[in-house]
Amino acid sequence: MQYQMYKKIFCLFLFVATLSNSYALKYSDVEISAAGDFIYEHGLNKESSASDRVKMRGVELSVFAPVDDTFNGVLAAAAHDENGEVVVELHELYISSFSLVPRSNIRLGQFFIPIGRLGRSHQHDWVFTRAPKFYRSFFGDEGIIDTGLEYSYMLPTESIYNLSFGVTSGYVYGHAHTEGSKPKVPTHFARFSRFFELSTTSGVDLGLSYLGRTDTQENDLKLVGLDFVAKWRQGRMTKYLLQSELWYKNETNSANESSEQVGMYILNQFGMSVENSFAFRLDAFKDLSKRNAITNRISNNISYGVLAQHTFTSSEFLKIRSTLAHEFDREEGITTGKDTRATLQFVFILGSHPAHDF
Amino acid sequence: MKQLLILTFLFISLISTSCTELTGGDTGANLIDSVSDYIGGIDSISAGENKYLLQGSADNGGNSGHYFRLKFQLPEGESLSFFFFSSRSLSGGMKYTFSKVNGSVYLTMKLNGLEDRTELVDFKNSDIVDVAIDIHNDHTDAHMIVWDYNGSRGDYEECSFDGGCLYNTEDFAFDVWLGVGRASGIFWGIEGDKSLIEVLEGPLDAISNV
Repeated sequence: MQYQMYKKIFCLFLFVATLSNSYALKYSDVEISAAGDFIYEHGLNKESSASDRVKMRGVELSVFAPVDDTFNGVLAAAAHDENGEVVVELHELYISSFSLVPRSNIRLGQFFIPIGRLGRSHQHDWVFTRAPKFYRSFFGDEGIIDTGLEYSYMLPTESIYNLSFGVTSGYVYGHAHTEGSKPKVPTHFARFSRFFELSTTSGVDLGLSYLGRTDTQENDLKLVGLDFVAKWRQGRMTKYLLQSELWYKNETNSANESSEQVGMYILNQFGMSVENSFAFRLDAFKDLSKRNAITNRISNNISYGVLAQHTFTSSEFLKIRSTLAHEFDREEGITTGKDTRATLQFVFILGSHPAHDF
Repeated sequence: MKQLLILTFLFISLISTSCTELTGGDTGANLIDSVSDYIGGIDSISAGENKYLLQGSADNGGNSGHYFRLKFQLPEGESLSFFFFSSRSLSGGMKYTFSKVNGSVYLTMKLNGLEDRTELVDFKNSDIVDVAIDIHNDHTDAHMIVWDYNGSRGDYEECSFDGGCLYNTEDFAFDVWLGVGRASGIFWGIEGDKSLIEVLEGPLDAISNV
C-alpha cells in the first residue's frame, strides 16, 4: 500500500516536473504550486467516526499559466487518502479567458462548480477543517467537480454585481467511483453576487446560488443557497470574519415523491494577531421530509454542530489549525447520534498560489 | 461589527430557546400503536400481499449510506426478498432476493433495471443466512457491499474474490453496474414468509466509509 502511494505521488511529481521543464513553458509565466493538507483527528466519544490517525487528506499539485495572449490554463491534480489507499484524481483542467468578451470570464474544462462560498475555493483553502454535515450531504466532502462551461459577467453598474452561470456534463454528481451515466438534464448552475465595499480594508460579499440536475433515473435535484462573507482587515490581519451559507435542497423522483432538506452554518472568526485567530461555528441541518415508515408522519429531526478552532498562520504558505467539534442528531425527542472530535490540521503551500477570492 | 455580533447572539438564542422544530422534540410521529406487527425485532405494517414495510427510514432523503443486518431461515426451494431505499409501497429501490436451490444460497440484486446474481458459498447447506449489508446510496452510482455477518468485513476492491466480502458492486462496476444510479426512496421492507425472519437491524450508520 505504502509503495503504491509513493509510486503514485512520484508519478504525479514527475508529470508536473516534466511540464514545468518543457521547452514551451520555459518561455511563459508558468506558476507551479503544491498544497499539502495533513490532519490528525481523534474521536472523543464512542460513536465518533474520527479515524484516530494522522492522514494525508489531500495533496494538490497545480500548474497555471497563460496559454497565449488570450487564454490561461490551469491544471490541478490531487491525491487523497481513502481508507488507507491513495487515490489520485484530476481536480481541475481548464482554459479560461478574461479578454474574449469585455467584463467577462469564460472557462471551459473540468472545475469545481463555483457556487456558494465553499464551492468557490479548494478544501485546503477553507477557513475550517471540515465542512458542516449538511454541506457534506449536499456537495460531498470537497464540493462538486464536473466538466463544462462557465460564463461570468461583471455588470456595468456603479455597484459591483457579478453574474456567473454554466452547464456541466452532469454524468456524475458528488462522490463517484464510476463514470456515471448520461443525465436527462445536465448539471446547470448560476450565482448572482454583490460586493459591498465598506472601506478600503473591509467589505461584504453576498451571493445567491442555484444548481439543478435531472439524472438518468429522472431524480430531479434542485439546490438554492445564500452565502455571506464579511471581512474587516487591519493591515495584514483579518480582524473579524463572518461567513455563512444557507442551503435548501429538493429532490423529486420519477414517482413525484419529494424530499427536502435545509442546512446552514455561521462562522465567526476573530483575529488576535497576524498569526493567531480564534473562531467558532454553529451548524444546523434539518430533513424536512423524513417520515416514520409505520405512522407515515413527518419525523421531527434536526442535526446541530458546534466547533471552536484556533488557527496559527505562520505565513500565507503555512497554517496550523486545531479544532474541537461536536455534532449531534435529534429525532423525536431522542438524541440519535453524537460525534465529538479533536482535529489538528497542517496546510502548507509550496511555490506560488493563485489569488484567493475575497 | 456590533450589529453582526447582535445577529450572532440572536441566532444562538433562537436555536437554544426555540420551538419543537428546532430542538428535535417529540411530536408523537414515532409512537406506534398496537396494530403493527413485529418482524425480526422491528415494527412493520403490511405493504401489499406478502409485503411488509419495516420501521426506520434513510437519512437525508435517501442520499445516505446505511447498514442492515438480515438473519433468516432459508429452507430448500424457498425465496425471500428485501427492499432498501424503496417507496412506501416497496416499489423501486434495491431489491435483494435470497433463494436456495440444491443446498446453494443465491442472492439476486436489482436496481434501476440492472441486476446480478451470485452464490453465497458461506451459507451452502446452512439453514440460516446471516448477512450484513452496506448500501451507500450517496454515491453517483450506489455502492453495495454484502458480508457474512460472522465473517470478514473487507470493503476494498476485489474483496468479492479474496473472501474479504461476499459481494462488492465495485468489483463489477463496469460489467454489471455501469451507470446504475441511485435508489430514490427512503423505506425498507420484505416480501415473503415473514416467519422465516429471525433478526433484522437497520437502517443504521454504514460500517464502511468507502
